[in-house]
Amino acid sequence: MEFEKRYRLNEEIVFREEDDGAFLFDPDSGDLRYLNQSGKETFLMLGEDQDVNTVIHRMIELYPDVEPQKIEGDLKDFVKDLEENRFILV
Amino acid sequence: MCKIVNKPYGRRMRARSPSYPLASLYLYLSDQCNLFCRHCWISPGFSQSATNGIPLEHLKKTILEAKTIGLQSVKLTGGEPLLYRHINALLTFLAGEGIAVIIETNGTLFDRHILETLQSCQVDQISVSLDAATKTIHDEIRGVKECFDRALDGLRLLSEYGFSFQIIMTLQRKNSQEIQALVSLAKELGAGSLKINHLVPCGRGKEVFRNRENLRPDELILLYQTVERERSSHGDLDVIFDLPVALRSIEDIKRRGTIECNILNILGILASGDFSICGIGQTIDELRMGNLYQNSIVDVWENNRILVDLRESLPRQLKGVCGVCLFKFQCLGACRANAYALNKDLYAPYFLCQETYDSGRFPVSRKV
Repeated sequence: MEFEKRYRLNEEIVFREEDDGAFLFDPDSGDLRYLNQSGKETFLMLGEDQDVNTVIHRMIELYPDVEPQKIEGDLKDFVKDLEENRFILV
Repeated sequence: MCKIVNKPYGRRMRARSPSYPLASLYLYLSDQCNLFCRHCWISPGFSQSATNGIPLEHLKKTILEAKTIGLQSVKLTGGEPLLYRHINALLTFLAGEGIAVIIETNGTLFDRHILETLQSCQVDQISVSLDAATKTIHDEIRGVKECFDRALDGLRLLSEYGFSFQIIMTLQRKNSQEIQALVSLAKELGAGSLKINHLVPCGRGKEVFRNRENLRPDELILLYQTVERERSSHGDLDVIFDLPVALRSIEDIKRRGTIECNILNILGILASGDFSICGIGQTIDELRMGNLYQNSIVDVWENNRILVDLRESLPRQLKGVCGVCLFKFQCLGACRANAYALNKDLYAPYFLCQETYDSGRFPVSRKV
């Protein structure tokens, strides 16, 4: 994954916030995701035209109790999955 | 059950598989019941005697044929399935064929012979109806005196034989104060779970709704929230409050998944031998789709126009709030049989979700 990559949110995807997370719904495929709080924060940051590297650093700041390497690894997988399923677009 | 893929950032709630194996047969073994429940959606006749139902050889032949298109389990229900004269022989056959068994019963007819036969089966679930922890309330709802004591005898026998079982209650105004007591009783009896069903305006349930003895959607949701709040006090007992997924809490969805009825992977066989999408054919003739005496189950499963239409149209043709629900690909509109019974339309919205939506209580975050 390129850390400088920037994404935008796919406008066809329905984003609905819950108290402690959010749903992503693809009306075309029926694919439905529940994002927990950190997933929701990451998704929204990606929509603010920030590159992956910046999002990783912001998440490391937000979650100081979690090992930075774990955040980086998990976040890369998460972003890859969102991109593969067209929840976010390059 | 919905498969949820855990990820550090959330979960994927998979839509249904686009393939349609006939995974389960719902066998309505008897169109009679030895109880007369005021809310029963099937409305069987009342009988205390064993019933003949489908001749065993015909049933065996159909089950063997169904195995060729994916059959893995059968749900034995009714009426009261233990009234079926050939119940022991059927269980022995299912054990021999390695077909998993689910039983829905009122629990009053269990005896040692049946339980010994059941021990040889792969039992996925035994569900016993108990509508209250108070004898008079249960007996009144179920329409037969002393049936509470007989159900308890059955449950104790199940426990003695080491079966894990589920207790099911159908919630209505008459037993809405019984949940806590039933939780305690279920624990005492050694149940694995307590399932709290909401009442549906189908069969004899219509009369309960007409008399306003059902709970309104707002009352149901309030009770659901109370049960969810008290979850930690239930210990090992899994308390399942059955509401359409869109009305459930996110914690509950994460714990139990999202799938409601497996309508695209089941077929009902009525005591008359007629096929239907489930037991609904018992009361609605146009939802019958052939008969095992005359039709091949494979042919019905693959070619019946109702089944083919459901596969092609669910969930995209769902109407009302179900058509704009975030969970429509998982939920498929909760119960399509009930939608048809109320509206003569297999794609009409589920009554409970639509009423919740119309009253402004449907969660905004669950709507597309």
